[in-house]
Amino acid sequence: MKNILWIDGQGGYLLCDSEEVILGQAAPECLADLAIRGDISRRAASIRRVGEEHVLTPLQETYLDGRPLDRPALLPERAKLTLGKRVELAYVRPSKLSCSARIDILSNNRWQPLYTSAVLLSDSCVLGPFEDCHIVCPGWSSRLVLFRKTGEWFCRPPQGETVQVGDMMAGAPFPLKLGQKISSDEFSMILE
Amino acid sequence: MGSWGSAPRVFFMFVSLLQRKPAKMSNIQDRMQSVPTDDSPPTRPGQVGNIEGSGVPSPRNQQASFGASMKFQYGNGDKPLDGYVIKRGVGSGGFGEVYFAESDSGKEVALKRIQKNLEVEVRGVRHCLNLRHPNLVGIYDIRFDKDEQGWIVMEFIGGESLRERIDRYAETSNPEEAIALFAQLAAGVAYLHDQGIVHRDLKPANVFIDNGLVKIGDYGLSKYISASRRGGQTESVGTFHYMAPEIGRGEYGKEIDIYSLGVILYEMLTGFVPFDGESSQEIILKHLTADPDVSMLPEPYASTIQRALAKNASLRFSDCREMLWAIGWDLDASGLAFRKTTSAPMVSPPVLSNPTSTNTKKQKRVLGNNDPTIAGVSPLQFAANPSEQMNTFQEPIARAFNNKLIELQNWFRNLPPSTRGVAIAIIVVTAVFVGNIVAPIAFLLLCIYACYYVVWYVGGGPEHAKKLAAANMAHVPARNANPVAWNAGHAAPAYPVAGYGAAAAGTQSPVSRPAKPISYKAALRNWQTEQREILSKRGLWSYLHSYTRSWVFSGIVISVLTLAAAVMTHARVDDNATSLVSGITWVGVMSLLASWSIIFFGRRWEKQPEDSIVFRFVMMTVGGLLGAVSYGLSSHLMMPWNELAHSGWEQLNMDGGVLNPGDWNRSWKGFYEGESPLLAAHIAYFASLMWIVRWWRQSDSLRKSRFSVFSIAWTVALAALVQGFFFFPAPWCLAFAGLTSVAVQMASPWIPYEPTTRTA
Repeated sequence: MKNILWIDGQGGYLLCDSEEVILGQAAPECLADLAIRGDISRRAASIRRVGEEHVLTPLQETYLDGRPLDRPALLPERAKLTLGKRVELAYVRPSKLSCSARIDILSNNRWQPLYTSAVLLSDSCVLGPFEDCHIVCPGWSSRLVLFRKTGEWFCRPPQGETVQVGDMMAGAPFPLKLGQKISSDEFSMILE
Repeated sequence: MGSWGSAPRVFFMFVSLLQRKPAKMSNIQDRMQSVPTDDSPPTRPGQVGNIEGSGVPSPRNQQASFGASMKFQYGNGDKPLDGYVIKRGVGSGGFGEVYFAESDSGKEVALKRIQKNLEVEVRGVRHCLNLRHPNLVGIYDIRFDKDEQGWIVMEFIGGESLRERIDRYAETSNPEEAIALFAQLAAGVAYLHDQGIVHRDLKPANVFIDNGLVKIGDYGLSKYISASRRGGQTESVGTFHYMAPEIGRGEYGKEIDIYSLGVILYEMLTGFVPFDGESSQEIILKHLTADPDVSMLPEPYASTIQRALAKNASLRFSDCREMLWAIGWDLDASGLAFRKTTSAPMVSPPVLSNPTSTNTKKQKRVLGNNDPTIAGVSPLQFAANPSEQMNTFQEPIARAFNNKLIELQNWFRNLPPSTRGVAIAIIVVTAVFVGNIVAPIAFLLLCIYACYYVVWYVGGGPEHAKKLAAANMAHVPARNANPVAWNAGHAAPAYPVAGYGAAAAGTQSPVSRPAKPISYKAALRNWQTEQREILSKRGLWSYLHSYTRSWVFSGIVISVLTLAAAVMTHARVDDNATSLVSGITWVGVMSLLASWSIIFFGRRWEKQPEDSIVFRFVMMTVGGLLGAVSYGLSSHLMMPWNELAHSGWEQLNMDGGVLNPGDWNRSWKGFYEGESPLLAAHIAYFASLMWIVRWWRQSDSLRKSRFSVFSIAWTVALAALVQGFFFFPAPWCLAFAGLTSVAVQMASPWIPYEPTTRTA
């Protein structure tokens, strides 16, 4: 899966569940999974999921927390990546229970297409108002969990609540489908 | 302007709001609930959303309503407007829903659906369609969908709004940055005014920050705000906080924007609005009657805000440029704001604690400018500025002595580093060799001074000194307000940098202008206080980790150094190597214990402000214990103190007789057996040493430099001084002090002082 989850009033989040993603420059014939409008190589670095960790492999000039990187390195829970000279990214694994990680751009660059953050998915992704959520949505009152089971992605509504999925109401986990609007009193979102 | 006719209706609304019963709602969520006016019809579905909050407003709470009302008519993939695909809803303001969309060719835009399709609204936007300024959100086009619904195609701003920025005040507060943002905001408003447009609805929620660039939104619409409000559906009453009092009378001149700018500036600097209340009526009443409390703000901001918030519109700044001038900024030919570089006191927001304010409801805030290099003066120059170093001694001799010390300190700091090194070496050697002469003499002088001080104090000295100081203040306020400034003037030729202090003191006007550039020392102190607060919030684990790591590290440093010393001794010395090695072992073990205790207490104490007397007392107690351990260790190692005391270079001068005033420091009864110190001597020596050196400063994470040779030298010199009171075989006790100082400094973590950025 490599799709953008558009959450009204919050932002757009690229959900990416492949084992390895390439970070690179947004170019007409784009080689990167996570494309950045910035002065970096088309293939600047890769992040690979190994067990419960992420390994950052520099393909071009890359810095991890300010130190130049010349070989693959394990990413700590929070790290600052610098690609090229100026593109700065924040990598964070907000929850101890999941190795899904969020990447935000710190410098004045943008993702291509324009979304808010990229989320590297392992087996789950939590949306909610708390700091330990992968996608932090201020103003929500509870958590919504996306999880992978037998290779497919499902959405579990908040405990004891039902959400509208397309034309149906759902109170139990339901499969995540592209272009289907998921909404409740509190939120509305679509996976594109 | 187009809405004059509506003025009476607006006034009516204003009055009706005043007459409404005060809404007593306790919690935030309740307060954000909509409070419909009597004449407002129920809101249509799909338009419930209103970021600005439809109800009793409180700027802080606008976020709270955010998630709860995020309903949009259109969603991802919808194409209400030909050529644009909607990606997601962004928010909904008083004028309609805003979406993030992409054009077919990939241009990112914001689409705003004009909620009520008033001809007048469209006309207002059309009027602004071709305005162009970097600090305005660009409007690209106005389009109509199949249902003849109007849409504004605008520049999409990815960044946060000023509202969100202010809500994060605690972590982002940086007056310098706030002023720079405010100046851009004022530049945008100035451009609008120059085009003959009054914004009318300036508020942080309408201002966006995109990569450091401020963008004002909603300008075309807001001109007609009052007209559309007559329909009574979604009143943007969330903005009472920023509304000038004359709006109630239906007056909409440029001055209402100036007023709003004043409120926004106040909120950016303090984190809260000047007029707040439980209900809209209370807020409006305050706008009409209350004066803003600017006592916690430094000049020129306090007076700028006061003038911008004048109740009488004609007393406010006549335009944005004038307001920018007041805070030391200006507009260039292209209409962009820039900071005027001259007149340092005007542009630097200095530290100002709030000595007079009685407003304790909101905690006092210190608007810190931690940057000591403002006005182009380097930190060194500030450090050398004696007028900044307040002399607190009232007693004339102590004051004179202290002044001399400060002078000496300044002179010393301005020496080239190599000379400083030599000077330190000389001081240490002198202290070591003549310590046992100087110490008793110093002790004697101190006793005499103590007697004198008692006499001076009893004889009414302090009152006299106060009167004298007051008289000086009254006559020559600029020069003698600070007793040290006088010295600076005289000392100027000796070390030119002090001239700054003299010049500053000399040119200052008698009218007190607190906007003096902050000294390096004060900035450092502020920073330390701030950091200590952060340190005190550290979790238990990180705290444990930090000192266990220091312990291990100091252990390694000491082992390596002592091992090296032992091996070298063994290799070079033939006859009494064993006794020397046991001396080295003693030094190593004692340093280890001492550095661990210092690190233990240092880590605990760095979280709180320094309390010298208590800290010294605790250290002295630790010293006593260390003395006992040292005695035990000496007997365990069977330390040949007698031998050791005569083995080193000490006998070179000690036995010369000239410099030896009769073994004064050895004549304590029951302390010594020959040259060998007994338990009492051990305890006395260690307790004094731990008492006299402020060890915790060396292990403080916020100390000035990572590793200070000066601190080590000073420690050794003090150890020598102590040795002058309680004899201890000389090189060993000094080696102990030096090694401990080295180990503590190397092993303690260090947070370097960052003058400009505030660590978040």
